[in-house]
Amino acid sequence: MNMDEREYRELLGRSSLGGDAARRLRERTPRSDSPSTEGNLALAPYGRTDYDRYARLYLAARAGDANAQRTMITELNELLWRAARRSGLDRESAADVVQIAWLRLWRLENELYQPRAVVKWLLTTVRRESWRVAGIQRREIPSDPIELPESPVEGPGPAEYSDQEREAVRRAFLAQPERCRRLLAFVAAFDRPDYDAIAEALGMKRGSIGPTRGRCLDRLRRTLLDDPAWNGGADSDTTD
Amino acid sequence: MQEADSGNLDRRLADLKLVEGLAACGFAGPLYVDFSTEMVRYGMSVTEAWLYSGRIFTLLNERGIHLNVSAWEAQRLRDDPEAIGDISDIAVAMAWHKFDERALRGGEWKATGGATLSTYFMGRVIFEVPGPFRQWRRQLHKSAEHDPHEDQLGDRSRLGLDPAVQAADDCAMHMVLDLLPEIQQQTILLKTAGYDHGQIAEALSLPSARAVEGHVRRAKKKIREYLDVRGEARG
Repeated sequence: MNMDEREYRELLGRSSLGGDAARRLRERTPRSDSPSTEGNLALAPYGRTDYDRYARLYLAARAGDANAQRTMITELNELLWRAARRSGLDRESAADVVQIAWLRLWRLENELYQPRAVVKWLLTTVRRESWRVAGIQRREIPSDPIELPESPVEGPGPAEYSDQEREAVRRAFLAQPERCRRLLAFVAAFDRPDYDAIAEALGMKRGSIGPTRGRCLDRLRRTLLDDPAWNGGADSDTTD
Repeated sequence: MQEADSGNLDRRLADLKLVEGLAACGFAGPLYVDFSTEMVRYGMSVTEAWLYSGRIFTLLNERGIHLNVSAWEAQRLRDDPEAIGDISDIAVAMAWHKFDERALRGGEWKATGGATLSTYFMGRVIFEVPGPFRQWRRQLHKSAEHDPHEDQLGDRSRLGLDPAVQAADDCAMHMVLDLLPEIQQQTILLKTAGYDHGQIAEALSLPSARAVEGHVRRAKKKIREYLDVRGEARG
């Protein structure tokens, strides 16, 4: 006789996956049965990328199905772009790198040996290309160990802030804890940040994003006010 | 994972009934999807804890696989949750397919074998980690070649702080961790990463949350003694 849902739940609770600590550990990995919690990315039932679906789309696109190709690009673009941005590229360079990854995929003479690996293949290509581009950009700017690279997040232009002030903001931002930097970068990177995606990506509760963001901005403000370079910049503004 | 738990036998019997029930459903349908979801979530969480704490390298060493991970590499991995997630994703996905095919459908897992279902699964995951880890390591060294300062200081060289202070901090951290036995290092690292005592016990196969408390207490005592000695030496 087939097991029913009640019996299954009861057995799962008594099984090696069912202990309190095991349950709390499992909960550290988010579960999602809906297909829209990681940007537009399609997720498998266990909350991760649906590799089978992308394998099917990839094979269809290779066979000339333009809809399949469009679907893949629409759904995966944001994920790839974020990966490039996380590698330290600015918006334009990130977009270029994503384009390169797509071009390389479609121009491959033979299809991927393992179509299920197409998402990982794209991510790896984007990261490698991002590191290559970032390496070139770094080599183009002479630097010493303390000198900072250009900010990956676009900010107000030179007309609004002096170089000294922009440098102070960047320094203050980079001195914040990792959690704050990631949250602020996420919020700054999108015009209308999707709090569900942020919660998913940063492993935070949705409700805590707003208050945490406020605390992070407060810290950032305090760090900035403690920086003589920032105060110096403010003074020079007021004297103008 | 807690094999020393007195409830181990009960858990294995429940595991057995669960597998029999899933087999009766042909290892398909919504219950099986739910079961695979839970096993994979468990696998990912434990693997991430293993990678963060360095436990995985101990487990691989015990199995004759020596990755010879340097303190710098271990620290870079801890600084990179994205990489930990990627390595864990790949290892667990690979392990799940084999587990599904052999342990469940092929009947290789036996309740009489001594390992619970989750322990048996994690045993498979261990062997899938070296591949994606090596790939990450290659990329890490490649990116360090582009930026030689990262080789010394990691991402923190970008914080705009004095590199000498960072180097001293890193050095102090490693010196303190080096004082501790491996299991205490791993316990302390997981504790500082926000895992509770029960979760640490589960991830590190310690008998109970109380055992974790004991490790934390002894580690703190050693660190305090070390700092006292250093303080006196300076004074």
